Amino acid sequence: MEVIHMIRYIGKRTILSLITLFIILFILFLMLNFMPGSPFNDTKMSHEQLKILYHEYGLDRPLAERFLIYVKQMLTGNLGVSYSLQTNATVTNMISHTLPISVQIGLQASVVGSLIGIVLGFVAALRKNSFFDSMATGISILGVSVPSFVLALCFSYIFSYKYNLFPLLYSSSEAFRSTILPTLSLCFFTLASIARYSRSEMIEVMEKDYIRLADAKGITRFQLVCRHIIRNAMIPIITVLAPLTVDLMAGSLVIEKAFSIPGMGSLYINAIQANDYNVVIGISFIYSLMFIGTMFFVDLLYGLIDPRIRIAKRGK
Amino acid sequence: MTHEDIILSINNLAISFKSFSGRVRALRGVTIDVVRGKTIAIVGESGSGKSVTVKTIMRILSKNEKIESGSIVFNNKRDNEIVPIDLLKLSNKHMQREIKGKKIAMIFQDPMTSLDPTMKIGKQILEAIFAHKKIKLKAAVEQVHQLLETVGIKNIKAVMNAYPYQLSGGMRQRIVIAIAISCEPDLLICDEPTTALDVTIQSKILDLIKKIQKARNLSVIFITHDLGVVSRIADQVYVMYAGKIVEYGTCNDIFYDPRHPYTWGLLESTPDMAYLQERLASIPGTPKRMIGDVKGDQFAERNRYALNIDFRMEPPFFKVNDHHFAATWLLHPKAPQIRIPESLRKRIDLMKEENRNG
Repeated sequence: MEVIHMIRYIGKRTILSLITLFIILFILFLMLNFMPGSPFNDTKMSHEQLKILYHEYGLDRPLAERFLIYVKQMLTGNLGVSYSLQTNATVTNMISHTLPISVQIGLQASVVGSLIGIVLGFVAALRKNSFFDSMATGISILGVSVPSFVLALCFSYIFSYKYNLFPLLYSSSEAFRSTILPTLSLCFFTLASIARYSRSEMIEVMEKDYIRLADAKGITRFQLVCRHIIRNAMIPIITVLAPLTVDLMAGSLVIEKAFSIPGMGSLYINAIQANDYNVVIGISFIYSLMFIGTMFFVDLLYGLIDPRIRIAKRGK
Repeated sequence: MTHEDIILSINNLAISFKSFSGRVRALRGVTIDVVRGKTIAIVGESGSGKSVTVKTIMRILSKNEKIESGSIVFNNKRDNEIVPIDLLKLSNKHMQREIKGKKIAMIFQDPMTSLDPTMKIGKQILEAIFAHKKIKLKAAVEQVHQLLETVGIKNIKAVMNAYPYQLSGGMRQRIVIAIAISCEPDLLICDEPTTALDVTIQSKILDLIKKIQKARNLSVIFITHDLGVVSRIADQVYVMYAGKIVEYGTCNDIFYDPRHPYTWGLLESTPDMAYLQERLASIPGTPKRMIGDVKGDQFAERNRYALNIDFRMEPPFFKVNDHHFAATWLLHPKAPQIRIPESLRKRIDLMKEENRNG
């Protein structure tokens, strides 16, 4: 029974996700169409030349037709070509060159940040109002309020310039070592917000009746924390963690600029500034895909942790 | 009463809480004796300190609690020998390993929130068993079956595999009871176990607790504000107000011969089908929050029969008979002869007659 429900649920969610993606795509298309300017902003170009370019890329056709053509292309895995950033380079190619490094750094930052954050928050909650708690609170306030580029500059000054432990700028010959400082600078925000969140979540759970009852059974403190408190506190933490992770994976312009990483974040911003329609749509699409995918995954994960959510899925 | 008869004696327990407006005196010298194999009920309004008392026994209070004075002596029976232990002096670890769940167990007020929503019922009961018993899983599962049968659950296999949200409130309270009796405790604390349930289920759960109490010769502390429940279950009754016991005695003493004006008020404000009043009486006002030092009888302000002295001095306990005591100046030999309110008098006579007939 369970398995059939699961498959049906996954099927339903997949279809819903596809429809969502389609709608996102359409809105993107519409909004880019209304943006001022064009991909070809060279003032030296004459009206005739522009017309030829427009015709060549099919930009002179009506919006609906362009949209249909784009969707048709997309179904074959073709996201179009870049108009101005790297003329005629395929968008798939551009993304596949920049996405992996952004995802790698983002994932690293997210794993490091959330692990340390959760541990920090949990220990702070267990020793509420102690010195450690105040320290953890201090770290979280700093982490949330100090912008990542400041951290990036501090880290590169200390670890690269002074002690020469890590490369100052990204270099493909030292790929992993070059990602460490960006990861550190990027993870702090996640670390801080997750620490604050898990502290308050855990304190809330510890006040619950079922924790009192479990405690009254006479189990050890360790068992109480592992079996009851953490499990119940994890559910809401996952909810905030998931979107944070996707945000990190899509690449941070600031960090990529600071360490000159050829990532997707900077590509995205450049494409928006240059009105490079296909690149913007392509990256936005990938971003949406990652977001919807992660939320989907998180929902499945919920079911594993919280039985009440499992039944909700079965409804109707 | 001899030493052996008493399983738990709370002596002069005083507890305060830190709050923003000052030190709140939650308990101001509470003394209660629980007789082995009997049920005592602690009654009183919300905020009178009933819950604080039992939560202190179980050591599940919040961190801003401070024990000012007193002791809670548990007379532990081991190999026919009685070993008194002061629960307040035990380490957390010892308390957890030797007392909670094993010697003293507790049933909580709201069954809807007292089971872990993410854990299967069977596992939650097993956890209680494994907390104190070193037995094989198979034997433990067998015990869970027996426990569930004892608390009157029919489709045992399905319930063991269910999560709390799949069960009704009454079922959940049965599970909570099963957890409480899983390690054969000597003392069972029931903190308003039927308040959150609807009336028909209330009665079933009460019967169940009574049945288990008889079958296992349990000592029970029963907290409630429902005097109807008290009359059905208790041997001894302690009436509590503003962190103090104001009257105590046997069930008959309290119901047929109440002496404290507060007890009168409680009895008068209990709805009763046999004695229909036009309007249900109530005690005027609300319990005072006791911040800082307090003077006089705390009930004086709400008391129709308050004497001048009530506002200045706290009354000591006056003896009514060997097992019935009340802390009110009205019992002082020099006090004016104030009689029990007429309406309550009639009600009590009616109750007595009913008992004689039925």
